[in-house]
Amino acid sequence: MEHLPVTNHPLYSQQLPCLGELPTEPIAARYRTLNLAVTVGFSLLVFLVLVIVTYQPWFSLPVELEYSIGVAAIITALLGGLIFTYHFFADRLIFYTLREQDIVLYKGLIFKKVICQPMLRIQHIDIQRGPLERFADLATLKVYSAGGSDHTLAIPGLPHDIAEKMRQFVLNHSDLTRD
Amino acid sequence: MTSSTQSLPTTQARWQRLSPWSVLHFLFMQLKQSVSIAIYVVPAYVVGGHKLINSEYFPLLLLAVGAGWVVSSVLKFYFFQFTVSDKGIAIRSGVLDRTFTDLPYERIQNVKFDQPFYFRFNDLVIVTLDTAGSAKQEARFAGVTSDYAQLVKSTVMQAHRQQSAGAEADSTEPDESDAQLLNERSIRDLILHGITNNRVWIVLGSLAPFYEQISGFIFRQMNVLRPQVEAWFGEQVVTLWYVGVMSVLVAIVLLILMALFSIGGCVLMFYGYRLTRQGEKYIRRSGLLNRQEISMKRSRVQIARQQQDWLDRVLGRVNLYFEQNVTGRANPNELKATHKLLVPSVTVAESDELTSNVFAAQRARHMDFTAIHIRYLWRQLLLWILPLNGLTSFVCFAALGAAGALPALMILTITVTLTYLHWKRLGIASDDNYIYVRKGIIGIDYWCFPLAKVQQVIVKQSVFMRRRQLSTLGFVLASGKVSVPFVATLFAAPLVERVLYEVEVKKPGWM
Repeated sequence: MEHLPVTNHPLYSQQLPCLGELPTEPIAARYRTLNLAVTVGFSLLVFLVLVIVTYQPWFSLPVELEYSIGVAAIITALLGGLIFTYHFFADRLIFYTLREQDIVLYKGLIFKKVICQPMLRIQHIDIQRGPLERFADLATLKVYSAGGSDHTLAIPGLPHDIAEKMRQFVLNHSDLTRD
Repeated sequence: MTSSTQSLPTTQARWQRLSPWSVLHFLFMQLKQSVSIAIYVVPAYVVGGHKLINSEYFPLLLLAVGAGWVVSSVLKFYFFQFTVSDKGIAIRSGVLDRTFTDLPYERIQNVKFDQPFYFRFNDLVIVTLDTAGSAKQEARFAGVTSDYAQLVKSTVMQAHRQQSAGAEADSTEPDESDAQLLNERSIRDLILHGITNNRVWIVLGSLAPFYEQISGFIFRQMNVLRPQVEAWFGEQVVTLWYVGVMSVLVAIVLLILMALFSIGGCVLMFYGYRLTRQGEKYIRRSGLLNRQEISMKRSRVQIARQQQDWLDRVLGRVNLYFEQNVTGRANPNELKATHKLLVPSVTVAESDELTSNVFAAQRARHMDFTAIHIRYLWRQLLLWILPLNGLTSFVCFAALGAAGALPALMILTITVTLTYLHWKRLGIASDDNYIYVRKGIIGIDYWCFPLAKVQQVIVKQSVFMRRRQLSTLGFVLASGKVSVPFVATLFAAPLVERVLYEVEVKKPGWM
């Protein structure tokens, strides 16, 4: 046990893992573009429906309903604006680092979160791609540990080929065949 | 009755009775029973019964009840017979329901003597024969001389010795032999556990959606009864008083029922609690109706939590939990959960010892904890406590005017004090192998988990926390997340490094 601090030192200096200055990689820039576009597109769609309902020629709306359509439009604008602002600032702040022994994810706008998942504790790993992500050639890498589904490490907005490579790297990692 | 037909070398082969003084014992037992019934009868009598029963007959009624007790006690004494043979002890008892209990010596685990106050003057004892069968079969005979009690005990012990000498090979439980008993819980402990545990409040809380219906029902009944009540009492004041008393009584009876329910549930669940260790395995056996057995491998224990609520603290008790992985399990029912091993209401020393049994050389209760930053207290106060207090004060003033200052001030004092205590308790410490977390408000909880069991590390910082060099640490274990807010980065960063080193370089298993 006494020799441990000696072998510790080089590791310590390299391994300021979550709080120190690690070289990081940003996720794909088009992840942010996609999110912003989706937010704008969805808000416009809701507006369009509201406009169609209001101005269609077939029937006239009761006064109360006209009022609530106004409220719905305001809520849509507010929510859309909020989500747009969030993605505008927050998506640029998602970084990750793949190291020999762990995966580290950095994210958060007001609350900066650093999540570090040791390879040894990975139970399984998968790649998720929704239709829009497929359209933009993006993927989300999900890493599961025994900590339960609430603590799944998910790296969004990875280019598909990089996500595949990362997945393969993790699968080939010697630690995954342990216990 | 087999025992009486066999050969009977012992002198006490005939059926015999207890000392006549045992009538006192039966009388006392009945009195105890009656008291528990009286809890329900007295409020009922106060509310409505005194209208039905004329108060002139009341002393007569009491006298009749008393006479009934005496008669039944004498009958019980008369019908209680027992015999001690070479095979075992047999007891016949009961007046109307005749019970025949046959206890072979090998089933008797323990012979216990009690001397209640009413037997002290003539030196009689109650002999209790403990059996460890799955069916609860316990025999007691009250009111025998202590000499005779000793004779019974030595007879049982002698029979035990003969049997173990005669049949060595006939060991029925080979697995049990190397099991080491770590802890046992008595009924008293379980009742304490039932009282201290929040189960009552959980039940009350789950009733909350029905409160409106229940109170609505009561008030509707009140309205129906109102004309009659007014006719009886004449005055509205009396009516209001009546309504008030009625509601309070109903509430009290409900509370008592809930408390009994909780205690009863606890005793049912944990009756005969035994925690044993068998090699690297911990086995918990308990339960009155269904014997429950939970076993947990030592290496799978992820965290030991010593939990102490305020009532536990008053009574000096601790609930100790050992938790293993929850992955893939969705059983929120704490009582049935098999991923948790609970040792209910142990003393502080016992809980420390048991924790050390699982996590060798742990020092959860002897560490110097690093306090978390005072900014956590400010944040809680500014973000939650003060705004909420502002709201309640507003409501108080609006409803009561100037007098609203009193409840508003009270709520403010209480919430601020509790928040302060919560902050004061929070702390983190670590040594070579373990991380310790201290939590709680009035009681103190100690959590302890090995560095090597960590699954994932989460470090969270707000913009303001970053400026002050503070971070919220989260350690994800297979049993759940443990997080400590506002830890100085100077403390947190090396700790995170050490955890990652421990896991990534030494590569210990977590199962």
